[in-house]
Amino acid sequence: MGTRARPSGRLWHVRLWLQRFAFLLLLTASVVLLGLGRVESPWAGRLRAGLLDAIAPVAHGLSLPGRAVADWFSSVKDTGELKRQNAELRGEIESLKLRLTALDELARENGEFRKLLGVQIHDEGKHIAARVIADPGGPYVRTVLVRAGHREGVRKGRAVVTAQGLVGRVTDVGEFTSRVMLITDVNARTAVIIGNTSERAIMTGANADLPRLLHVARTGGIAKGDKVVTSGHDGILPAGLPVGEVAEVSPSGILIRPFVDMQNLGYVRIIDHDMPGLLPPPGEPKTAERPQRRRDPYDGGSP
Amino acid sequence: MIAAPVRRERWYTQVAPLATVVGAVMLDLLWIPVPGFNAVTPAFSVMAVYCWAIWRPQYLPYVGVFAAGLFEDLIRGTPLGTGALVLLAVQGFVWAQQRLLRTRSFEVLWLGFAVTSLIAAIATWGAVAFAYRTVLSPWPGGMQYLLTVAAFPALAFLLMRIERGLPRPA
Repeated sequence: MGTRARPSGRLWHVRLWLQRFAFLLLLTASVVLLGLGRVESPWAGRLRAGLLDAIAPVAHGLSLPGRAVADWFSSVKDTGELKRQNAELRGEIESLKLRLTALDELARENGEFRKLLGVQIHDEGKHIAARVIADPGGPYVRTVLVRAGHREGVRKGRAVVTAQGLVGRVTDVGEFTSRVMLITDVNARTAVIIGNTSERAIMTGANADLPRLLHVARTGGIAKGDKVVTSGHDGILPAGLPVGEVAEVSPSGILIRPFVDMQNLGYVRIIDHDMPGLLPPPGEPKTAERPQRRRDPYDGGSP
Repeated sequence: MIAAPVRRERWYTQVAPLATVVGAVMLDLLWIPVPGFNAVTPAFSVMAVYCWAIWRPQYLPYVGVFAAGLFEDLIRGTPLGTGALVLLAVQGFVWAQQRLLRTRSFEVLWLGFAVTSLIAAIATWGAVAFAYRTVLSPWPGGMQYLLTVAAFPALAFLLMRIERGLPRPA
């Protein structure tokens, strides 16, 4: 630092007060921003989406050492079990082959019945494969960054799955990177059906590994091990996606163990689906494949 | 009368503290798997603000710290204002305890950081709970606190090397 003329006593006091004022002003601004946390601001969304692309290469580079260590521990842990699993899998393959033959026959029959009844099946949409490149959330946010964005056709709100089941949904979309909110995040809400009872509920993340069920009308029939799938009633996620199974039923609540291990996400698939009858989210471009609005028979004007 | 010579400060002397804070924010993207917890990373930005607020407070403007906090929120996906509030709280605390913390003893520096980062951890938990209007489990934050205190010597050593490489204030 160079030698500067020392400010006079009065000037120094003025600067000190200005500094204190700026500090309090910025502290207040932070609290105000937090207070507005629930308000979805378009500029914050755009800024987040823009930043995703900028930080993606750094995020990917910084996630490599941790991922390598995790993979190594995982492989060491798994080696002992490989032999036993191999024997089990051989037996399972034989039984699955038999079931597959039966399923093919059922699918053919099902198709014929649909034709007879004239049932139209909703298009399940295409899948976009994406690699998980970072997990920047920290202790109170459960999100991951994936290497797919607008360029690949990803849009906000899309369901993200693995072969095991539901991972979460897309919350921010950059040009080639997106942020996915996991179903374990405290802000995640998923409309689900509990398999054996067909009971509907809302599943919410609890900032822990096991999300919990809210708004369950009748808990009597729900038991540990019951499968949980999406119901599609939230108008965001398609119905029938496997979510998890009931891990605990107690007076304090019902906990769900997700089928997907959220700590070891490698690749995910983003389902590019359109929920019928819904308008696109604000700021989303209307796509060519979106179903056309039906013409109102009582409206004589143009559609 | 001959005026006292005014030496121009090197630009990197002024930029280094804030640049390393931003670099520390980027380190939040480091992925450290802790079994049973979500990927937890030490609060590197808290370490950087703490160190520079002690060593070169004149080059760590409040506006810069506020902006670095917002940047952190945008990266992490935490409610906007959380990072800014926490980093400003750290800077304010260090400013208030300046006399005590300006020490050559590393043990005192580390102990001071353990207290400061505890305040930061509580502030983070409170800010997120306030933004979400819900009470969150403090355990993941507690794990991050322990990891942050444990990782402090490594980053502090690095920052100390940078600080010693910069020209001394006259």
